[in-house]
Amino acid sequence: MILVENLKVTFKTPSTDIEALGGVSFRVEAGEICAVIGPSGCGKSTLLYVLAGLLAGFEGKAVVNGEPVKRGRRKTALILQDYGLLPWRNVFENAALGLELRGLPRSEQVAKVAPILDELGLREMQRLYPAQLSGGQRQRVAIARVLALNPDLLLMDEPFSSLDALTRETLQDNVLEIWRRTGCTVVLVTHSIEEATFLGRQVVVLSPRPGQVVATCKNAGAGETSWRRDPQFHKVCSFLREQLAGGTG
Amino acid sequence: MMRRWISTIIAVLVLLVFWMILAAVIDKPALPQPFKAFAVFFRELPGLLWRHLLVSTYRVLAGIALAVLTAVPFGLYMGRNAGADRFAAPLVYLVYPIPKIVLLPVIMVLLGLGDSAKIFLITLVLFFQVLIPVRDSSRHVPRALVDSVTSLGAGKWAIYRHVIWPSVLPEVLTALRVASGTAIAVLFFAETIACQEGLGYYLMDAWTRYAYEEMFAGIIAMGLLGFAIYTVLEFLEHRLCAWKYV
Repeated sequence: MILVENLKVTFKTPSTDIEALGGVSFRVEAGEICAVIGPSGCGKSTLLYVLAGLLAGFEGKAVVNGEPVKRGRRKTALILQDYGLLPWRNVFENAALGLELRGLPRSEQVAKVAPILDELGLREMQRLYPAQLSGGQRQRVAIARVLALNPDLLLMDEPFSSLDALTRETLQDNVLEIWRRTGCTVVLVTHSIEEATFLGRQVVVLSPRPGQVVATCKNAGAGETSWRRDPQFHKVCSFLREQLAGGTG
Repeated sequence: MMRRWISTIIAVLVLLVFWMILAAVIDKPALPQPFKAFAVFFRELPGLLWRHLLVSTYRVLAGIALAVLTAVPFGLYMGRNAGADRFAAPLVYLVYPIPKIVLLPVIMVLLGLGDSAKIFLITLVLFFQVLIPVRDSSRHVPRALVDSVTSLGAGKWAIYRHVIWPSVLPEVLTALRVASGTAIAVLFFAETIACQEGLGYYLMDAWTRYAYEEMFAGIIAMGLLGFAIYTVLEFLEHRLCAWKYV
């Protein structure tokens, strides 16, 4: 499903060139959840931008579903930490934005979006603006918006890092449910070891900038909500912590 | 809503009382008592004054509309294209500080003495007052917002339509509210030169005849015109940018 080979990204600034990714390789099978973890500034977001087709100038290979990444792949969905929602559109209009952009008539937008809003508990908030929602509700709208498009690849950039612990866990559970129901491939970038361990059935650990793969580990326990309370869960967390520390030292 | 009406009425009363006191202290025909000016205003309004008011309203509104229609696309383009901005910005900042009313003779030679010269002058002044805030605010639209909507399948036009324009719209309306006062001042100037119609003409004509009460009737009409434009713009802002007021 996803194949990244020797991916290098360098940002050119007037004074100097900054190497964000220094040759990253990994693969994610279709229908898997992969968490990418690493220290801040290691280029994790850059990696996601490449996969989303939003960043063109890179070296190496980035393939989604057998095709090189390109802008505007319709089955790729992206969820960012902030700013994802348009402040001047209410919950429904935000959730239906992707469908509107694809030219669907209003009645079909309602037919597709309403059940998703129901599922995510947003039905009563349809007419509220993002400013009237809590952080967790806003991120749920962002999820609803991409679900309406039936994606086969869900890319998430630190989606829950600005939320409180309880809300974060609820939303992580939501992601698992969606993943199980839709069978889409998920790539989640995070700096939280617990989040990577809970969601990532495969965890890619990146080194500080320029990001390189320190370790890729299978984490078969992930994918169930009960995994969080499993004694094994904490062992995986410790293992990842060591990998991250090794990367810095 | 009720509260706002009451506070508006109180504000008008305060202004009138201030005017009365000032007129009483100065005690010269050049500053008549407000009730005299209003008496003339209501006497003249159904006839000549109404016609002048309509002509001026038309000129101001046409000037504002043309300024918005030209400055907004330019501003959006400059704000979103660094290359175009590098070329256009020095040009804009060179022309912006020039008081455009000094160009009135040139404009009159080119466009004649009719409405078009006056409308063009207002457009010219407002163009820059709208262009600069539009350019600046469109440049500061968060990149992540553009990226996330792009990832939903938006092309260049859809980004302008769904992301850039709505985020710039409040700035446009604010700029227009600030500029509406300038527009009327410019209009007054344009209407006092080689002109037979409009509030500017009405005012200057009254002035040259030492008909101060008529002159103040014209000033009242001008004030009301400004107030009406301001009110409409505020209404539009509440309607079109409802999300700002939740």
